[in-house]
Amino acid sequence: MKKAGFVVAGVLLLGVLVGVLSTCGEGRGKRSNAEMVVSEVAEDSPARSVNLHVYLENSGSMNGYVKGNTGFEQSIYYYLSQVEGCGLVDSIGLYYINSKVIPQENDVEAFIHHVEPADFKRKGGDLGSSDIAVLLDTVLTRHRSGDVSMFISDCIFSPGKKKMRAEEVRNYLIEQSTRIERIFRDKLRSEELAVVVWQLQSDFVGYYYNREDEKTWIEHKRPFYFWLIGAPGQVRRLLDAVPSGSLAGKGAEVENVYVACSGGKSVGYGVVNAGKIGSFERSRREPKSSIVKCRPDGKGRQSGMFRFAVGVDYAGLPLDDGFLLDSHNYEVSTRDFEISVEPNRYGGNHYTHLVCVTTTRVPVPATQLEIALKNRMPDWVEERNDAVGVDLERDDAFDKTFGLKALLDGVHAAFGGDSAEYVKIRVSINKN
Amino acid sequence: MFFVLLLGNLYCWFQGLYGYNLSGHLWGWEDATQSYSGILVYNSVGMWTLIVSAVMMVLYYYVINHPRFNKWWHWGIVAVANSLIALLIGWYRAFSDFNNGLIADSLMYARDENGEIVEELITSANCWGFGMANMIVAFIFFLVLSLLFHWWSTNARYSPFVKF
Repeated sequence: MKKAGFVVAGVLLLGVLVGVLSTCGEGRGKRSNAEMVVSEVAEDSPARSVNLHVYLENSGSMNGYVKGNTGFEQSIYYYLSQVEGCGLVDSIGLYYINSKVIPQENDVEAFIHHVEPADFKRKGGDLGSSDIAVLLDTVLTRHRSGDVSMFISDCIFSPGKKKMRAEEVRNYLIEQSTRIERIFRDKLRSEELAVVVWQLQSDFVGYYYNREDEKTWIEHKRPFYFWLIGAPGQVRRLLDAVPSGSLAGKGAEVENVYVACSGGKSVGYGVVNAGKIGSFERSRREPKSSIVKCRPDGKGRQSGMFRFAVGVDYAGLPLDDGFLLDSHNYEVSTRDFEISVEPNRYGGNHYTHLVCVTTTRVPVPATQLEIALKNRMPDWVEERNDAVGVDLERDDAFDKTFGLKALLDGVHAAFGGDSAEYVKIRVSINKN
Repeated sequence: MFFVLLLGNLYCWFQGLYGYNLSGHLWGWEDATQSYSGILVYNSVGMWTLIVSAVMMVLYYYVINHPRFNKWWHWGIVAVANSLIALLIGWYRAFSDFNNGLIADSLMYARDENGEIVEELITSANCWGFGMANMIVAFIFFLVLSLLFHWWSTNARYSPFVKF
């Protein structure tokens, strides 16, 4: 009897051991959300070569950019030479564009290097005015899936109407913005696109045409724009091969960047061990997206502070660091946590950036944290927008572009506006 | 999955002895995949410890099985010997991975923004800590196995559990 009792006691002890262990037991080997996302990105990024089509506006307003040997010419020449030499591009198609598209010989040097206003004129087309919405419509209509289209223009709207009242100007810009939104929205129905707009400044010697088509001779630096339009992965590869920073010292430098990207891209992310303050453990069930036993630092200058970092692989997104590192472009689901973003210099993993999450609340609040990278319109667009479009000198608008905000607002709205998100990161923060 | 993780979860009771970072390695953390996709060291160490404990139990109750070696402290001597062997098993397994550079970099070192090492997160002391944890686990194994299998011993069936 006693023997049976001890056997039962032994089995019970083993049972208790197993039971207690289950409270400690978080699974291993289950695929986390973050891991699934990584594989999606891998499938989304085939190593394809690029067919690049370059459209250079050659209407009369562009003449000032090509008079003499200008930064405008040098930067385009340098960029196209780099693209030709990087091995990524299968073919380059060169075109001038105004009221019609004028194919050019496949010779970058003849296309831009030694071009003068007279050459622009000789190429033909309607050089008198340019309708940016029509030009973009033409570029997008000709755009084929898998290609990257490059559009180079001063992007100035030309209503051409005399004596417009302020309200008429406003309505005209709203109308243009809506047209551009529709043009891009129509294209986005059939394929995923990324649009990258670089703003550069170049010497300009020639006539500036204001909103009423009155011309003024100016010799001053003026902005112009490179547009890259294509599948997000293709555009990203082109940006990696010839980044905006490579134009520094090669003519006109890239001053500002705007990016819009469709498709709510999936990126790989995961909690990393680097950059932490205090201590935590990665959950074994969801090591990339769940942390447990979060404890703030107990001593020193950072006492009471808790920080962990999420590694994010932004390599598949055509966004530049100026945008990615700005914490204002992120939205955090709770005010208990603040974030900062830095390039990943720690190594040891494939993540390009670290999103560092910090709190001073003790104990560390348990929550399902969501961090969204928002598709926000950058501040420079408003700062570099000329809303009047009459007199550059009087309006102090030499470095501004008439209607720029309406133009990019249209693009931005087509891509979902400020409410759209590029990336959403979810991390579960648990006390135990 | 529960039984695959059983041994690791038993060890996690004593993680304070050897630290979270070495524990991550023993769970199979790999930087390349950023997941626990490597070898589950807890299971191999745990199985060896369980086997050694079983052998020691059989040795005490059924091989030695001697009327002059059946007091509770005789059982204690075997239990301590079992634990010391487990100490060496645990230490050796952890230290060989530590010494051969098999532990993921992110678990081994805290680095600054320039990639320079600012702190070693795992040292040989952690390996001894894991040896000690294994020592405790071995004692538990030996105790439970003794509880279950002492009945059929002819001379030591009441060691260390006295007859009521």
